[in-house]
Amino acid sequence: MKIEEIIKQTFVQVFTENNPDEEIPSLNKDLVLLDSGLDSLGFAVLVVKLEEKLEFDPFILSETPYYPQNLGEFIKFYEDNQPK
Amino acid sequence: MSLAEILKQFPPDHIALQCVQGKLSFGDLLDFKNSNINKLYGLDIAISLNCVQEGLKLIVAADTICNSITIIPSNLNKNQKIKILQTVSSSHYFGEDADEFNDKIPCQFFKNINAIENEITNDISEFETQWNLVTSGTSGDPKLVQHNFSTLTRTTKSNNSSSKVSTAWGLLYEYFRFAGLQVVLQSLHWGSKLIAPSNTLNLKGKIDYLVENGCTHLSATPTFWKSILMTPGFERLDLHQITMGGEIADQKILNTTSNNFTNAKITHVYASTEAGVGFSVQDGKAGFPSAFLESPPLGIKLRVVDGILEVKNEKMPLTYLGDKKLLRTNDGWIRTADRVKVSADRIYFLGRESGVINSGGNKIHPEEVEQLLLSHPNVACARVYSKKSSIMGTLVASDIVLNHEVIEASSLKKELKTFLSEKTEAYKIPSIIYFVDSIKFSDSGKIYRL
Repeated sequence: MKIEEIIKQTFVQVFTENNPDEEIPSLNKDLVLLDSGLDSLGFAVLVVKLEEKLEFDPFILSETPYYPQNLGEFIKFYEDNQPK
Repeated sequence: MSLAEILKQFPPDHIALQCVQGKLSFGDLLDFKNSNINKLYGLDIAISLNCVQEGLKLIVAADTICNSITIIPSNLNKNQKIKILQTVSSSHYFGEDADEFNDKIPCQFFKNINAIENEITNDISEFETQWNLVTSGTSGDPKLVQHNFSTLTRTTKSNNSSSKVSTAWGLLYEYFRFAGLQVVLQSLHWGSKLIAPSNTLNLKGKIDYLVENGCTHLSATPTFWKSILMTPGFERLDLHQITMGGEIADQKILNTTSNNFTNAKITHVYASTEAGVGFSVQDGKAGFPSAFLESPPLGIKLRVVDGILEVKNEKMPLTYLGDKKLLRTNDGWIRTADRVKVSADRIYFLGRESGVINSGGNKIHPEEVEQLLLSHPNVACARVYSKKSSIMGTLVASDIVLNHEVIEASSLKKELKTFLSEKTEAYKIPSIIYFVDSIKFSDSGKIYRL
């Protein structure tokens, strides 16, 4: 499965665990992460769950400190920092 | 110098507080104090107002007039508040929730100062007020630490240059917590404008409010700074000073904030609730210089024993109120419970000893959360521990062994979180739950802790 699909699938999983009664936002690239219904804690959980699945965390690996604002930047950050 | 004396240094029409209720000038604060001296003189008051404007007015009015000021976080529950009121023997409580107290304790409850009858006192002399602050510090239950105005303002630097008057501090912490009160006192000390965004706003709304009102100085936890950097439009903040505290500030977040706010000086602050001391580091590097062991800042002393930072401060309060446990050892050194690594020229923070979890600046005792989890009928065994997060530093995680009869486990994670949310603060609820087959115990029968 591609990184993008794994990220979207995990996002939905974390979102429904934290906000079971809310509608899942449409996962387009412009979705602002902290406006998506996930707060910073939910976002931190998402990154931990992704590390369990992908076996890497770009926030640790990346040489340049960076905090993506929308989903498109987030996915690209994972793709760009994937261990070769 | 008392709070009122500090305020008198600045132009009376200069804005001291900008919040959703409006503006308050330095003169307004002093006028409020002068017109209420008779009502407050000699009282032991407790302030638990959610509204920062009303809280600040009362704090300024009460300093040197009241016998004691106890600041109680407005979001504590009623039983926790009553316990605190009894411990400090408050005579007058101020909080929006005053109507909810009908308990037979010797304290009167008010929504605001207007309801107090004016006592005519002829002989008024100012004296040093005792300040009691609540800390979530070192155990599950809120604890009270005794201060006076000089210990509270020890690290707030006074205004040496008149240019400070044009600065504006943003308040992202609650004013009734230690970190928030430090920002409030720093802002007043400098004659700055304090900008307090409403707690009902989301982070984007808060940042917009800070931008609109010209915020130049901002203090938050490293975790909070990461959230700020993830919020579109954050770059409109024209910051001159960035302060980080409450958690370990690693090199990455120091660099990122520095890259994004090129005009800002970046300071990270270490504070020990146990010791009642703190110091700041301004060289932009994580940890602090090893030279602090030899020549420590601000007259405190530092040493490292068995990998734990110990501090010594002659001025600190002797005890937690209502709890006779001495904070100091006999020779005056206090073990901070913060683990450190000493390298040639730098000392780095590693985390807390004894399993206490620091998540987003809040301290969590795993045992307390484990006990709560065990009170759920489906939980047979629970282990609560910290899980490293690149975003929040540390998350609260839990391994849970379920009772045999539970078959439908998928919806149970959410149910457990809801169950805990009815019993404890949100920050103590494990954000990651794993259902496991067994939990490792040590030889002594205790849960194995890393």
